[in-house]
Amino acid sequence: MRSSRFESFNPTRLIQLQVVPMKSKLPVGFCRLLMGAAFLVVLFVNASAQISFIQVTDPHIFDDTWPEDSRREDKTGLVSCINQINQRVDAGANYSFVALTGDLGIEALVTDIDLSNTGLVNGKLQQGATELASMLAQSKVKRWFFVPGNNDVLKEIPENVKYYHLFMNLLGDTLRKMGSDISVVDLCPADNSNLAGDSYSSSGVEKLGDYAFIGFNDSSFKNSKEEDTGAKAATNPAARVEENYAIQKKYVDQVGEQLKRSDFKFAYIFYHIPEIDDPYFVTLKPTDKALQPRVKNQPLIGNSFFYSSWFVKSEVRDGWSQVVMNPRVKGLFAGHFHDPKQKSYDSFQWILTPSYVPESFSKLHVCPPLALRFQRDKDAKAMVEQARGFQEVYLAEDGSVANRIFWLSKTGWGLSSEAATAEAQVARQFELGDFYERNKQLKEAGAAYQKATDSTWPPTRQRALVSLTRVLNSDDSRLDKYVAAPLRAGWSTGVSALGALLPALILVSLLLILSPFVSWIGGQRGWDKLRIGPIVGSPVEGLGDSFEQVLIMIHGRMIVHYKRRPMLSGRQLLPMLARTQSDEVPEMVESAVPGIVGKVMVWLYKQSERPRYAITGAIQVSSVNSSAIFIALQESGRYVRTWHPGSSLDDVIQSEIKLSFDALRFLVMHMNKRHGQ
Amino acid sequence: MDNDTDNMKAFDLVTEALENLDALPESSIKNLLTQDSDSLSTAETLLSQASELDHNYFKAKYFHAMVTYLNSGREQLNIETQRAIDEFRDLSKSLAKESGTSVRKESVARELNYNLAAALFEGRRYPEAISLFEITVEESSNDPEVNLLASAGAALAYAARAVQESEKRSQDKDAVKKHYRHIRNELAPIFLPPLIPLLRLIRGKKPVDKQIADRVRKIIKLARVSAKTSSPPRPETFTDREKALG
Repeated sequence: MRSSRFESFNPTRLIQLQVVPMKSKLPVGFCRLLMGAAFLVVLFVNASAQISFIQVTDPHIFDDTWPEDSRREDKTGLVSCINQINQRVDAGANYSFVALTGDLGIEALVTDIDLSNTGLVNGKLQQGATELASMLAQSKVKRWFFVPGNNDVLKEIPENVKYYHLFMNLLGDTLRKMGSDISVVDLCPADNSNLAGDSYSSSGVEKLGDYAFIGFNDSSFKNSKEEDTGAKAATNPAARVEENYAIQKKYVDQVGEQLKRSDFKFAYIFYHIPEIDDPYFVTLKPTDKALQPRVKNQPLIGNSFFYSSWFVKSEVRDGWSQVVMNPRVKGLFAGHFHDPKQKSYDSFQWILTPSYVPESFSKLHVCPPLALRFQRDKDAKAMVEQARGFQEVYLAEDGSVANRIFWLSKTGWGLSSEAATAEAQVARQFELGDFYERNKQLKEAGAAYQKATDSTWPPTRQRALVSLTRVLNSDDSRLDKYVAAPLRAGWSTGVSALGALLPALILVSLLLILSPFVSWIGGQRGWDKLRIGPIVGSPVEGLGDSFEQVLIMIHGRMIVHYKRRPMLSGRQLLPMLARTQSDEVPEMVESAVPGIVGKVMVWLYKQSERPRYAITGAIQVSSVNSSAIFIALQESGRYVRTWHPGSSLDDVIQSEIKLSFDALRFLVMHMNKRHGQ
Repeated sequence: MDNDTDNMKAFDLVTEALENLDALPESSIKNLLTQDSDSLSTAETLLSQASELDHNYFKAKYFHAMVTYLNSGREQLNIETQRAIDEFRDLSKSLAKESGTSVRKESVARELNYNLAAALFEGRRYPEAISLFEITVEESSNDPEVNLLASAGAALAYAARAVQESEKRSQDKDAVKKHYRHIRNELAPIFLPPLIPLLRLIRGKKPVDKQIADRVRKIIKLARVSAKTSSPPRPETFTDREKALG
């Protein structure tokens, strides 16, 4: 279905909305000072309200034994992860807590032992708790939140969550005995109501200001391992769905109840198994054995949900959808997947089931696992691609969530190559900014910090804004640099004050005189220049980036196609002429702050790089197997033409390619027509 | 007929064909018999496919005619030359049928005339080639690149006819001299090529692509030598042609 929002888009309306500069009788400097002060106030208010944390999931340090024992590598992975988090803390990151969303592998500690022997059970769990405590003790983030995963609950039988609770208690006690100041917070603590005489979980809440972090125990929601649940379930896979229905519905209702509290503004839910499709299941056919129990029981679980990681009654899922759609819920954090493809965690484009509520996509953030589990082939060799890592999360003042994944590779920890490149560029701009600022070259420092504000990572962007504001408000420093410093230098060297001031005056005069000319030159130089982007992707930012890449690639083909070919020569004496088949193709402009080329050159460079054309747009993928793409061509800030086809999810890339071709070809024709080619 | 296409597949096929053609000038003429003939064949196939996808795609058909021309001469006076002539003629007719006039259309028409005349020369149909070259020279006074190449082509065709037909020899030799003077005047001083752009600028004339200017100079030299010595200007072996073009 096409989005009517795009179809009714009217570019002229946007033009009408352009801000008209306010005519103020106050001195410009005073206005800027006021604006800067107001900006700083806003920043400080934000700083007190924003929160960062780390999500780690699926370390499997006790149970990763297939296809070979990888527990040693997984323990090394967890220690390495803690070290990496510590390094980020040392570099200035301020994490409020680390959330571990299940699958330590506690189940393996109590497998194949006599469960009636309490001493033996306690001993095994204590052994594991001591091992984990020795690792956590190294952490510089002092609060660790936990929720149970399906591999933390023996045979995934709900009442067996009691071993997980026991483990959590032992872990906390052990850390205390070790003298560590790490606090262990079980976000799914034992429920003392003892439903059916057994101990279950409750939904715990930890509050930090306006933010509430809620635990949700969905460790049994796979409803698998039916052979262990008795004769009834063994003959009928759906029996376990029915058997566990009451407790699973109760767990969902517990979260719903917590959301009724009024002492927080925003809620973030931590659980293990995400409600969406399982990346393994989507590679299967509905006729495959693994999917058969689900396909056969479609009426029970909701007709289209047989690819889902949850194998639960439709009433449980309906209850959860109510939780997910609650406007106070701003983020859902889960784990559980072991897919070796990194893109499976970056976006949900691979999902086949169209029936999830849209909020499941926009609010859910699935963290990649830390363990090697399922990331080796059957010969125990590492796969070409692995997806192991942890997630850094940032909660803004308005409750919105930004996250990025740090991947573990053979060479160590790092962001995805694209994000790492962007991060390195921003770091370079910070270095430049710091260097210029230390040397009192505030204009250059401002330019570098402004460039750093392009960062897509909110904490970095905020840091750049703070630095930029500081530089913008250093009017006194500018005076010192351009007037007082030359005067002092002149005095100290015996040169007259006028002589020292003269270069500054000449410079200012030159800038004033050159300003209109350089702007004009910029306009002239930019007649054949094109800027691509930004193209905004929703709900996943990466969609826009991939569309920009498509545009860049098609632009490359256009250059080859329309390249100037004066003549074609062969073995004949007379060549063929082919000049009329060439056209000008706009050159793409990369916006970059130039290197150390002097302040006037920086200013001239910026003024003289003004691309006449720009392609901007948006791409939105909805949950009903459709997408809407919108792009607009601007010429000197005026909208020349827009394109907005709709397409199904299956052919998004094809639509992007066709749209890029149409827009760029139109641009080539338009530009050459304008310039009489 | 549209110069461009909305069909992305056809556009892509032409782009790929052009990439094959771009590799050609880097090779020596000797190599045209070997690996470059593969590039030409590939380009020809791709351009045919593009024309099939969009029957109105002028650019695909135009480049196809050029590739057919470049493919000719592998055997002595072969059917490829005739095919190239036919294709250029068809395109010329299609262009003439197009309604309206524009700078671009006129420019394409001039270029097409030159290319057709070159194909006629290659097919040894000298009177027709001379006639078309002369028309092109006349109509391209504001387009120095076409004008110079057409003038050089005309000189070459006159020289060839002078060797072939004795009754017009004196007249043809005079015509060669006329075109030589015209080119010398346009590209003067012919012995100082680096100064040409500057001199043209001073004289208020459009600049000429260096590659085209070099080629024109070689062709007119060949035509002049042929007219003086009454030897055929159109070498029959590849080695001789390579020598002739320096």
